[in-house]
Order: sequence, then structure tokens, then C-alpha cells
Amino acid sequence: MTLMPGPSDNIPSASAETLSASQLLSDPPGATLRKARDARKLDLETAADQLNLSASVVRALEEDAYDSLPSPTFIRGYIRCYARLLRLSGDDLVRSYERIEALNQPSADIEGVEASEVTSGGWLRWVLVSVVVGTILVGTIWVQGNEPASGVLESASNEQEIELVDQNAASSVNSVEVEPMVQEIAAIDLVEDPGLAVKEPAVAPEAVTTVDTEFVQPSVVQAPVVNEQQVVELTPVMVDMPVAAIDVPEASLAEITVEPVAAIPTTALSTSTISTVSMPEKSSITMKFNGECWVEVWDASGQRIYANLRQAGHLVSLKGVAPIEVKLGNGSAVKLEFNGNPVLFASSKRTGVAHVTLSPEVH
Amino acid sequence: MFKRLRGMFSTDLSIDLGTANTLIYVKDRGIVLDEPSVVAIRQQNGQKSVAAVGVDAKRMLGRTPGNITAIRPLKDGVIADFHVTEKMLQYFISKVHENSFISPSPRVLVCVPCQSTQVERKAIKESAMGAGAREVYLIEEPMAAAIGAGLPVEEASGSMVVDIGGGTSEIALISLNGVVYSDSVRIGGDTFDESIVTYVRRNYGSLIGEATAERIKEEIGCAYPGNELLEIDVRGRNLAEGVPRSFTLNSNEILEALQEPLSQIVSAVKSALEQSPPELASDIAEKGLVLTGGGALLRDLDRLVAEETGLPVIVAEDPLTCVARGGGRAMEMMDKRGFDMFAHE
Repeated sequence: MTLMPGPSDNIPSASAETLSASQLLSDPPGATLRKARDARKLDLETAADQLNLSASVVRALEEDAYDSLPSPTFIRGYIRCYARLLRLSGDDLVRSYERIEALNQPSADIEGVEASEVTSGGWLRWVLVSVVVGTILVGTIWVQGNEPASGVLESASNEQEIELVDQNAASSVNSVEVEPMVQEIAAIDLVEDPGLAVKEPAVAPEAVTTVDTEFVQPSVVQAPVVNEQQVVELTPVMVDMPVAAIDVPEASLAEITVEPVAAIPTTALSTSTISTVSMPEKSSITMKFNGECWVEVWDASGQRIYANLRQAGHLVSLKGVAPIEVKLGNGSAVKLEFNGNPVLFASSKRTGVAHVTLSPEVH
Repeated sequence: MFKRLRGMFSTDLSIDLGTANTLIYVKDRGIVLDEPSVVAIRQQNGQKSVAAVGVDAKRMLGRTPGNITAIRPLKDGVIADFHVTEKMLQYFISKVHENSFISPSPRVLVCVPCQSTQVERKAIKESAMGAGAREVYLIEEPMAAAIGAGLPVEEASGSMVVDIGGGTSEIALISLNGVVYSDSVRIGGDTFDESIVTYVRRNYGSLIGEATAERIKEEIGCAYPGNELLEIDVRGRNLAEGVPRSFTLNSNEILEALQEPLSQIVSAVKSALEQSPPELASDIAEKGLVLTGGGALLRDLDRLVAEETGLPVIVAEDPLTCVARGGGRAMEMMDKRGFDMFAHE
């Protein structure tokens, strides 16, 4: 490959520098180029030869007749090459050419189409965002709105029935059905929700039984069906006359002591329908804790009636339908009694966990 | 389904995955990323992790401690290290979608060299998919360059484009949205740098790094003897003494250093012209050929090609970004008019 001196090297340096930038910008590029060529005493053909262009193209450039030339990319390139040959600023001439082209081309329609497309794309995107956000908001509101009512709804829907049994006055007290939440009875005192009361309609005053349940942790009784983790902790049950065996939703078969006392702390029972059903015989379990231990108790129906972590010194008494299954996290720290009889059991040597099944037949 | 949803929050990207630089073009936003294709890998306890990507990694080139390696995952326009390329693309895509609150899943168009093999194309495609792309299109670099340069590729008229990139130079004759003839030579900006390094070692007995060579090329490099002589002060390690020494290089020396790679590019252009159909050759002779790519910024390269071919030669506006812009424009054309100008695996 041989390198030859540039075409502009042979051109006498004329007063090209005298063409200021403002002149270049104000004049059309063609006129500027012609002036500069004349100033350099360069004829059109020679210039065309040095640019490897045909004379007609150079003439069209000088006359700003761009219609006869190829695409703008080439025109810009030709102007730059020609400007370099004449030692002018190619950038200024190209800017001048672009200004002329911009004036000649009504490109508003094209821009309008593109702008509308952009807007519609953005619009669609934001509609989607607002729909998603809206859905999330509605969902959150719905969930929050449902949460407090869920216990009530569930209790009501479960149609839980509470048995009222008056052993002495069985003749006078028949099965009594109490509609939950709708009826009101003054004798029943609600512990946690005094606004909710239970009324026993069409029942003789003497037949009205009051239920006194002694709760170690009253909150436990709130909604046994809703939350399995909830714990019913009861003191040893005392049954007086008349007896009201309260069958708390089938989840919990723990028996709740009833007394013919005026005040009833029936937290969760207030939302339950009361009716008479027969109760299966229940066994009692007592657990005395010497150390920290977690406990889980299941009754015959397989429902977990108790689950908690207990500390040393705690005493837990439960009643449930046998066979009762007891699982102790730290078996050595618990003394277990079943229907008043101590129960001996072995714990796992490795984990300390004890698994005991208690039934009246097996001691 | 989820990818499509994410896609709604992603912008279509046109990626010029070059050996030297990676450029990303986004419709209506222009070139949004222009970073060197360099990844710094840290090796710790046998585990490799990415230490830096792009500009930060390039700054580390040749200056890394033992546990960090700054590498270029692309060589000669194709993937040399698949996993590192994937990581790099992942970084670039997420950088473009910095403001997005959903992880991006854009449609991506990647430019590939004409002469790349099926395996190389598949590697690029899978690398982009691995980086999170929803769909990947491939387009041949000269086609993208021609569109980016504003050539009338749709017309029944021949256009010739010479895209001089970092690793390869692509020459193509384009007409009616198709490549009539294409050739690719593995000569590009990197070869220019290597030639400068070799020249300095041979004539000055000093060793300079690639970054210094690139700076020399950008500041005083030229392809054609000009009227003015440019000079630059360079510091390199003297091979005989083993200590850093300073010396001055001028533009004529660099011209001499670049003779070999330049002559190979010119030969490839001439060869393309020889093989072009007569009708297209006539179009090219009338209009000329267009130079794109970072290599087109080498001073007076157009004059050299014009002198050697006897054709009008022009340098595209903003040649460095032509390929990325052209890719973006091709995607728009595809959406609007269903054009099929993409390369197949």
C-alpha cells in the first residue's frame, strides 16, 4: 500500500480562514463551498476528481440542489469531504445543511405518530400498575375487614351447641336452645364481650341456669375452633347443681365447670348456640411441672386440647375423653396423674420427649 | 406469563456487544450505556466472583493484584468466555433498568459478526437469555451499522458499509434489506493497539500497555500522512534497563506502525468491490462507501480508503454508536412493518 499526499496538500492556501463560523452558519453550505473553492482558485472538475465524485454531484452541492443527490447520510459525508478539501469546518457546514433540510421537511406527522405510540405504551403500563396496586389495596382491606368478624361468623356457622343439664330439675329444664348473639339474658355475664349476651327465651325463671367457669386463662376460650394453638387451661372442675356441661365447639372437649351462679364469664360461649346433647364420660389429667417443658394433649377425637410451654411449679389440670394422648417435651420434669392415679412413663434418652397414651383401661 | 408481565416494565434493548465496548441503545432514549467490555473477576478460596464491570474493570486492566483478573470476555467479536459474558450482560441490562422496581426481562437485539459460526451465535443468544432477556434477536453487524448510518437499505440500490470494530472489520454490500456480500477480517481497533505496542517495543526498546497504546492511537493516530505532525509523550518500561522511561512519539511513526493492519482492511474492501455484482458496484461507485465503527474515528482513514479505491468514502455520523442505533431502529422497523432482517442461528 502506498500513501500519497492528500488532495488538499496541493491546494494553494487561500483565505479560507477568513470565512468565520458565523458566515458558515448564516450562508447555505453550497454558497460557502463555492466561495471557498473560488478563493482557492480551484475549478469544479479538479475538486470533483480529488473527491472521487462526479462533477454533477459537486455542482449540486454548491447549488444546494440536494434532491438530485442520494440520501442525507451521503450528503453530509460529501459536505464534510468537500469542506476538508477546502479547509473549512465540516461540522459548521453540516449544521447549516441540516437546518436547511429541517426547514424543507415537514416531519410533524411522523413525530406525531411516534409521540402517540410512546404515550400509549406508557399509558398501558401505568394502567397495569394502578390495577395491580388497586387489587392489592382491595385485598388488604377485605382481609382486614374480615378478621375481627371471622370468629363470630365461624362460631355462628358452626352452630355450636351448649348443653344445659339440670340434673335436679330435669323435669323443669328441658332442652333449651339459645340463639347466639341475638338473645339477651341478664343473668349471664360476659367476661370479655359484655356487649354480647345470651338470652334463654321461653324458659321458666327457676330453670335458668347460670354457668360459672373458672378460667386460669380466660382468653384461651375465646375461639377454640379458629385457633388450634389456643389453650384451655382449667382448674379442677367442680360440678354443682344444676350442672351445665358446656360443649364448646367440637374442637375442645375440655369440660368447663358450671355452677348455678348468677354471673357467667362465658367469653367465647356467647357466640355459640346452646342446645342439649349428651356428654361422653371424661377423664381428668393433672400435670405437675418440676422444670421447663412443652406439652401437647390430644383427646379421643384426635383434637389437640392443650398445647403450651410450662415452667417449674406450674400445675395443669385437664379433662377430656379418653384415650388421651400426651406428649411432653421434657418427660422427666413432669409428674402425671390420670384420674387421680400417678402415671409412670419413660422418656426418650436422647431427646427427653415422652409420649404417653392414657385410657381408663390401661394404667 | 410472568416474564411477559416483567417485559411490560422493561424496555427493548439493542446491544452492540463489541470486543472493545458494549453499547446499549433504547428507543426514545438513545445510547444509554457505553462501557468497555471488560470484567474483573476476583478469585477467593477457589470461588470466582465479579469484582467490577465496564469502566471500573477497565481501569483495573493491567493493574490487578494476584487474586483479581481483568478480562475481556469477547474476542474477535465473539464470545470467548460464556459465563463472564453472561454476567457482564446481566450487569449492563440491570444498569439500564436501574429505576425499574421489577427485575427486567427485555426483548434484546444483539449484533453479531457476519462470519460468526452457528455455535458462536448460539452462545451469544444463550448468554443474553441467561442474562434475563425475554426474547433475543440477532442481527448482522454491517446491516445494523448500515441502518444506524442512515443508508437506504430498503431500496433496490447497493450500499456498502465498512464497520471497523474493536476485534473485527466487517464489510458488506446491502440491498433490499439483505446482505448481498459480506466479509469479515479479524482486524480492528485492538489490532491497531497491538501494532503500536509492537512498534514501540521494536523501535524504542520499551514496553507499553494496551491502555497506553489506545491513548496514543486516539490522540495522534492517523491513517494518511497529513500536513501537521502531532506528538505525544509516553512512559513505558525500558526492556534493557528495566526501569520506566519517557519518550516522545509522533503521528508519522504511528502511521508507520499501523501500515500492516490498515493495508489488510483496504485489501478486504477492494476484494469486496471486486466481488460485487456490476449493478451494485455501479451504485457504490456513484454514491461511495460508508465507514462506521470506532475504527472509523482513526484520523484520515476515509482519505486512505478513498485514495486506494478511487471511490467517495464518507464517515458516518457518530460512527461509534451506529451499530447500536441501527439495531434499535431495526427493532422498531420489525414492530411496525414486520421486517425480517435478522440473522439466524
